[in-house]
Amino acid sequence: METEEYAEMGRAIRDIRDEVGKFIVGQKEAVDLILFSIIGGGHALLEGLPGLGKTMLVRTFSEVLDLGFSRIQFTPDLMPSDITGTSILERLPDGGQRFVFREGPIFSEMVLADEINRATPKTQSALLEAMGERTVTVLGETRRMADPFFVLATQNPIELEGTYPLPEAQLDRFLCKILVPYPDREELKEIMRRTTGADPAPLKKVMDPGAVRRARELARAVVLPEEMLDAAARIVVATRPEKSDIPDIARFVRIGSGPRGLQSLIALAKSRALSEGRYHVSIADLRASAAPALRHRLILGYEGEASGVTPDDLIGKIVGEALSGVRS
Amino acid sequence: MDSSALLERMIGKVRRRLGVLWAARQGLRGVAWGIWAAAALLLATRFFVLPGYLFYAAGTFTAVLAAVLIAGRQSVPGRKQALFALDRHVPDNLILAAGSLNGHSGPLEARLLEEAAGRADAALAGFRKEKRHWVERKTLFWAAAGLGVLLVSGLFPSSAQQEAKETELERSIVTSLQKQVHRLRERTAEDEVGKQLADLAAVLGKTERPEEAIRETVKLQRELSLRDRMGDTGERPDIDGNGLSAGETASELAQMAGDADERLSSLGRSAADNGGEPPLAVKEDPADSGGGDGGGRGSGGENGDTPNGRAPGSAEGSEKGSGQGSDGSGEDPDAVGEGEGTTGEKAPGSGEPDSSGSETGGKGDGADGQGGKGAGSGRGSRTLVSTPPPDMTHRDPTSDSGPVRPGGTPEKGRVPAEKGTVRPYGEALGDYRDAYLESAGQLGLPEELQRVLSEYFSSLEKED
Repeated sequence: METEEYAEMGRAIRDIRDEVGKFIVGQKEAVDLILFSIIGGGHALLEGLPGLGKTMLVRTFSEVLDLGFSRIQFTPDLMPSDITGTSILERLPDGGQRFVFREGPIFSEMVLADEINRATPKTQSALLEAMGERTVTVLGETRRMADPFFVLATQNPIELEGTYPLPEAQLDRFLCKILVPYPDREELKEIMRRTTGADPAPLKKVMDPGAVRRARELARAVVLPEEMLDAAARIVVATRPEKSDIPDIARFVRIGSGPRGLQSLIALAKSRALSEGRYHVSIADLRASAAPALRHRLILGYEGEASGVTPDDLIGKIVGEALSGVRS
Repeated sequence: MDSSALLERMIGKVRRRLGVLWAARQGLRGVAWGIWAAAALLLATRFFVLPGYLFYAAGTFTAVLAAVLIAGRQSVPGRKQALFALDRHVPDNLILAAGSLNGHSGPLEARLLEEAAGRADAALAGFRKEKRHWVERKTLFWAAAGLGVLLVSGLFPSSAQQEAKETELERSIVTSLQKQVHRLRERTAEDEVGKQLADLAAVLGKTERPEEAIRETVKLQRELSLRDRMGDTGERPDIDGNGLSAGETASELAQMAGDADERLSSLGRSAADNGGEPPLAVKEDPADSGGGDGGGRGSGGENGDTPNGRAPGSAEGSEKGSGQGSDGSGEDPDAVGEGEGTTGEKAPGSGEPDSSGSETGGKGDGADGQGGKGAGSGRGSRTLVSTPPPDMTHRDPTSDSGPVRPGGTPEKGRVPAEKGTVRPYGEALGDYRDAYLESAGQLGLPEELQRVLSEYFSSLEKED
């Protein structure tokens, strides 16, 4: 594994960003984090208001990465088999019958689980099991998911009536939570120019599934020095109210992050390092990855909810404390 | 040199520099804390007497400085801090990453080390160019402020502090005397003298007041001096020649007591103030006193515990010598005192009642070339004096038996020194003066000596 390969991969990732940027206006953080999640081998939870281009974002990535794409609109009456697929009885030309598994939309390389909190917990768990195990078992037969396999679930922060918020344990399975903000005025104008004018030029495929898999391998091999690992561990431990030295954490946080949080933080940091052609994790990688990796793992208490403090505020304090004196 | 070693060398250099910086800052911090602790102690001692408070303040300063340095040991920059400091001058935490690989080896780690080592020189140069504050202004300000408080407190001591200083000096005088006596004991040749010196050292150990210590010293000195004179008449013990004789020991004691009294005089006090005899005057050397044949002695009353008075028995070996006997006064007025004088034509050894004890005797005659001797005993308080009956001058003078031997009792009544009426010294003074003026002409004293005596009486009248 040559260091030059890291530099090449870094360039390729920059190309992906540029290509996505031709179609998606703004949303740089969301673009980066989706890319890092794919490279990091995880799944992302997108939270934003309707109409912010979440579906378009995922679709664009699937095209640029040349990955299969499917979209599942989660509704309360959605059944697990609607996601995983089901075995149906098929008549054979010779008059015989057999069960044939008809794959559901989950058997795709990129899956957009739209408004995942509208489905029942049973259906949600079917998806989350597939996300975690990367296998689906139907009628006793286990089937492997595609590789790469990436799920991007979206969640609407408003209209909570009739929804089934994801339990903490299931939220923990997402590598990161991406906040999609409103575009600013300039971005809005650009969106209008692109969507109300002539058809945009077709997207170029920058990578194929094989390159994505190689990118994952390179990302996993990125060097994580002891000092960086220690800093990451400090950050994660500081999210726990019983362990943190930060008064606000003890006051506002009910449940902090577990080991999956640290894994996610490191995976995101490594992906970020790779995206810059580096083969070692820096403090800046950890700093940038902390909020996306931990914000959905910080469960606020009553006082935290009531006082309007956000997990990002608290993570900012944690990072400031844990990485104080360290230049990034 | 491989990359890892090169990187470690650079880290070591940065660590040493950071260590010096830490020492400078922590040292100043310690000094500031120490100064304030000492200042606090000085301010507190303005309200109560603490002998040696300056010493304690200095000790507090040292202790606090040491405590701050020791307490700050945990913050002594180590390898990690050096790593961070060096890493600031390279992008992407390259040196921090390479320096914390913890022995992991692989192609990427090796490449990382190489890259970091390649940039270490530039990073070190950048680190050296960094502007560093060796002295923290805030700490410096506090140190200066504390120093100001210290100076003001030191320059303007309170009455309690002055008292503490006096007490300190008193202790120092006593201790110094005790040490000197110990040393003297080791040098002395005679066992008996050594034993007396040991006793003196023990007494000094229990003594707190320097006046008492000096008086005790002089007392022994006088005793040894007497013994030494006895030695002149054939009773002098054998000396091996290496150690000090009784006379030499006495001389040393006199010197010590004199030095101690001189130190005590810086407090405006003297061992003689309380009825003791000043130690310098008791320095006697047969060679000096009396100038050979002209030595005359007059013994007056002696204070009980200590030699007393400002009227020393002095010896001048001159034609116009004068001898004075010390007056009797003090706690043990029965003790025999000794005055010493030299004679010229006819030198009187006169006991001078400087303090007002009842004094009889203290008068001796010395013939030309011969020592005159007088003995007397003193009795009474310091404010009263016993004046002889008016007809005393008509009695025939008788010779004195000489100084009292150690262990002996004063021989009384052989000199015209009978106890008269006890009167305040102030009243008796006039009679003395008149008697002197009346007989001055008959005494045939030199004109200069007459003038001195007149001035003496005049000065006493003024004091009155």
